[in-house]
Amino acid sequence: MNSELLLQGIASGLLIGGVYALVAIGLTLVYGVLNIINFAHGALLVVGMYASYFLFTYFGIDPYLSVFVVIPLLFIIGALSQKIVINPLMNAPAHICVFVTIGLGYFLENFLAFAWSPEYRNIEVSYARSILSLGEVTIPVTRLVTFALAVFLTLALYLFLKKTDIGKAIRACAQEKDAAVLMGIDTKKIFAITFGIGAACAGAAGAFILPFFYLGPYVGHTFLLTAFIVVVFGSMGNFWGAFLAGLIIGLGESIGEIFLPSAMKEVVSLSIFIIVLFFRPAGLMGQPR
Amino acid sequence: METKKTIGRRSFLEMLGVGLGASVFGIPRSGTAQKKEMLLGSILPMTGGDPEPGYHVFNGRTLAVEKINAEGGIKSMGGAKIKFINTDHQGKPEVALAEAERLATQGVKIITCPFMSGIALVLGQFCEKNRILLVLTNCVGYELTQQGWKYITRHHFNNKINLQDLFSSLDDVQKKTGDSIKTIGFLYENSIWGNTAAKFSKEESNKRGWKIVADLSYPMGLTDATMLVTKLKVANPDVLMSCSYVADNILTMKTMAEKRYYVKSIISVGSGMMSPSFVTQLGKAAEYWVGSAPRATHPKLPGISQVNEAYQKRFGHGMPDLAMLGYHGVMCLRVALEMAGTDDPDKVRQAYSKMYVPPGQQENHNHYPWKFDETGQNPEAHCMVSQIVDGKLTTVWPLDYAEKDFVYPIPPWEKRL
Repeated sequence: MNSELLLQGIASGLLIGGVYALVAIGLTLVYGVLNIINFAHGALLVVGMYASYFLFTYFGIDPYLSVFVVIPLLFIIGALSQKIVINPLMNAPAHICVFVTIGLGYFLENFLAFAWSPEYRNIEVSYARSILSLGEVTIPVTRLVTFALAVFLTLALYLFLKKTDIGKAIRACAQEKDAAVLMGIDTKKIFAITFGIGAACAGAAGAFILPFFYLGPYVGHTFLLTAFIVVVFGSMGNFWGAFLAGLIIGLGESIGEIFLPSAMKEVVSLSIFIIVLFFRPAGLMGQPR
Repeated sequence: METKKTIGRRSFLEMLGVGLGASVFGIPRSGTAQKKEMLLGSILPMTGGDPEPGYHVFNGRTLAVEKINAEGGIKSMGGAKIKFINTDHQGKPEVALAEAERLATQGVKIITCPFMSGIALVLGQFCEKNRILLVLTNCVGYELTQQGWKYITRHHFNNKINLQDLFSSLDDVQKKTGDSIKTIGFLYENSIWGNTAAKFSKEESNKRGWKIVADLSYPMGLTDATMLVTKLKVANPDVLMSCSYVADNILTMKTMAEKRYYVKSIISVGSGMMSPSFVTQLGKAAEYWVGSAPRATHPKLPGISQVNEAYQKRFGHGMPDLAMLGYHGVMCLRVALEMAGTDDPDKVRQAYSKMYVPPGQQENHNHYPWKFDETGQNPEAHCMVSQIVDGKLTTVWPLDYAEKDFVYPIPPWEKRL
């Protein structure tokens, strides 16, 4: 066993796991409150990437700073999408909402492709090649920053939901919608805000991964399936569960890749997923059997 | 009482006249239908995992169709104009198949493209069964013309020729520099395209006695290339053979730059190298990559500059190499249609077998002729080996067409970034 491979595998696994967690956080919030599986989440991530790309290309704004624009922009897009497209169907069967979010995703992706062509884009920040060397392990600075921001975003969202009135209202709607209505909470407004926050998280994730990932209208699909697995694995609606699950999935893939061909790297991570769900069907943070 | 109807002599003569007139002037005979418009099918990746190449091929093909129609269509078919029914396979074989079925119900007898060899394999089976001619305009998977199918043609090189050319270029550069290659690594996507590239790379490496120290396949759509690059770093081959679609190529290259992964040369099989975004978006990280592609801007290719000008005027930017494949695919098909005088797949396929178009004639702007063997492959098609130097694709092989010397071994990262 080559020590460089093993140590690099652990480091890379944690870093990519942070990316998965970042992408999954908004998804788990939307599911936890609205009970909707948002298939447009990947497309919203890409919208965030494009916004960050144009801010960098035309105004020289660093992607990590562009979130101050991307987050409000995606919040508005998300809230309006929920209000106009999803809200009328909130009482429809669940699969109808799924189809609507799929349609929303297709619309966003193909709008981007139509407006700016499907050509791939890439940015080059000044620190793109900066690395941190820890013995045999090299850690790109961009990925380390993204990991740190994933932790920060998870914490920020947790505190928002715990400490603010809107956060409490969101949690109330997640726990029991009818009771929340009886308590005087405007659930329609809360649903729009929640979807907006979920979209903002997706957009922020897009901005954070732009320094080291390529951009194209359909790149959201690359992360979407893994994000769903992370959400389920971490217990739907639980941020810390999503964060932990992201790390485990990332580590599983990276370490799996050391011993197995790349095509089979998911065998390790998904085996862990299945085993954990067998004993804890509600996910990592759910109740055991 | 029954009344027998009889036909008088006058009526008989009238009917005979009408019948003769109709048979001469009005009723189309099989094989000589005078069509105003000829429908062809196109199945390309326009959305999904790797749409950028599909977009460029589509544009190249569009330019060709517009030119053909402006020049009077297919003359042997009464000036029939070509009209493509465009479909999108999204990078999914099941969608490609559904689109092919839809095209078949619309009477399409010839389908072009579809860019991805794995998808072409599925389409080829369908087309063979339904007697539809599959014209590969940008699909290099070698196995595609080895299935014993009748209804398939390919005007450009396949993977086997591609790899032979790439390895030959390495032979020449070793002789020139005296820096010999002893070990090689492979990094490839794991569909038919990548697997055949690896297969022929192994054959070529074994012929030369090069030790294969890394053999890494992966599924298309990487989220992270770190472990792949780390494995390559540990294996430390002299040369790396890479076979990846554009998106994965971009991610891999970025990761190699991040990790300062050094190798004396990276030879890349098509796709990623042929996409303009690979060169423009990666900047210095892409310097010195070597790839095999047709060249849409090579000064020695007969007549290519006019095509480039027309492309620039039509689409607002220079012609990418992928677009050139799409353009030539349709122009070669035109020759076959003119020879056949029909879009009947058997006759068009026969026309391909009899075709010989030297470079510089009938819109063949390649450095090889158009001719086809019994498998549907053009055995004379070769690629140009090009290297990215100062942000531009520059031909380095074959030596008659070299614009610059092959840079080998490439400089270390410290001198490049």
